[in-house]
Amino acid sequence: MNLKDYLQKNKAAFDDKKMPPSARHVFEQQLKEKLHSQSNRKATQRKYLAIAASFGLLISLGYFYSNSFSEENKSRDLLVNAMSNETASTRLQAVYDFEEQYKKEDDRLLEALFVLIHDDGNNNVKIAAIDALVKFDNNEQVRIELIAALEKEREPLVQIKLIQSLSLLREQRASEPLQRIIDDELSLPAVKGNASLAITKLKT
Amino acid sequence: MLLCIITCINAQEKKVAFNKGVLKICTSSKINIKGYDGNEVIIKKLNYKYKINYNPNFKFDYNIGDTIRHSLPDSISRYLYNSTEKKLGEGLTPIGQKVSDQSDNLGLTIEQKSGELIIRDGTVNGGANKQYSLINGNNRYELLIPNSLKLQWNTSECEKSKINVYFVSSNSWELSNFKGEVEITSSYGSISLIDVSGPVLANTIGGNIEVVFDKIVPENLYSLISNDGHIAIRLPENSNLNIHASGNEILSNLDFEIATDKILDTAREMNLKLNGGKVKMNLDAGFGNIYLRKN
Repeated sequence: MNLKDYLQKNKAAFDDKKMPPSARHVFEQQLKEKLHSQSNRKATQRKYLAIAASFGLLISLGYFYSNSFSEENKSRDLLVNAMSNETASTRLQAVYDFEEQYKKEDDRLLEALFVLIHDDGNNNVKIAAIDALVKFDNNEQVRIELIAALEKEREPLVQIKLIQSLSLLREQRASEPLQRIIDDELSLPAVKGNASLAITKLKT
Repeated sequence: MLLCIITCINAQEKKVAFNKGVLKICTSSKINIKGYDGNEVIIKKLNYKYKINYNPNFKFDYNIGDTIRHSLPDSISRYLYNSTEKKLGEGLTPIGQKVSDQSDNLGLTIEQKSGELIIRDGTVNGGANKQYSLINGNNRYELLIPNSLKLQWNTSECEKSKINVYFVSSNSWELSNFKGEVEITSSYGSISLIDVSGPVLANTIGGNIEVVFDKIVPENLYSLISNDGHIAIRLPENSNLNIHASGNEILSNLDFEIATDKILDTAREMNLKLNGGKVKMNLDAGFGNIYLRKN
């Protein structure tokens, strides 16, 4: 007979027995040592602390991310607004700030620069915007906008900057507008010279 | 056919009350502009002896202040040059078609509208509803302008026409002692800026740009572009500058920190700092040199 069968069989003999007070004290002492030892308490505390720290870290990261994201948006909005300011020096300063602060592409800022190369009334601003855009040589839209600007630009100084920029980008699609500039009897000799040089470079 | 109408005009000066807004100057005439702490734009026409060899068939001495109108082929425009000998006009009064603002005899059109004062070459009625600009390439003026204004100066036309008309001149268009914002566009002419605090945005095709900081140090944005001329700047060595310079050669006797130095296909490009690099200066001389000299 095993122990289980023995206890089952003699159940009545055990049920009315109560633990003696002396044994109860020992039992509780052992139980306390087993379940609430110092090391266990420390481990539990560490576990709670780790969980709390994780939550804290997550909240902090979320806060910093959202904060820096909104700071970046704010800074970008300021630049976009400055690029449409009525004062030419403010627009120019915004283009220089863009060049210093933004090494990666940003659609809204690129759009603002496209407006400047097409419509700005000041040559210095247009030329600075062209210089800023040329750095994004892998962006197809940048190339398209520079070619479109060359097709309609009438200011010789800006024409020369566009010609040199498209030549630097080795943009073959600029060949046709370049040829039109060469054929146009109203083009300045300096502009025609730059256009001829650019076409030669594009062919090599 | 060459048609000459000769008028004799004496010394002229005009004052226009204007101290807030944009002063637009759109004329090929030689102008020396000075800033001052006042409330009027003061225009003086300078008269002095001049010699012109415009055409092999027309060689004469003349006094600035007199006018001759030549009718040139319609393909370009019609020009008005100051000329002829003053004594020919003595005791005579102008007859025939006159410049649009004849009362001041300046040969300029002066228009004032909200926030803008526009000074441009005078116009003449060419008949059949045509107005021709009188392009006064040889006129000389001196302007005193309030420092509170913003100056937009184009040495040809402010509105771009279909035809490019440019004037080649060995003299500079000069601006001095001005404290307001400046935009200058010049073609085949040099620009001279003396103690102009800025911001300054100046560009020229085929001309030089010369800047002197004599009594002031640079404190505002300067952007100077010359396609083929040099850019020469004289400045105090305690200037606090952050310069981006691009040109054939960059020469200086100032103790710049060279932040970057690139040799490109057709130019040399540098970022230079002086005393920390606070004030932005962008210099693009194209195929020309850049000279940075200490006072």
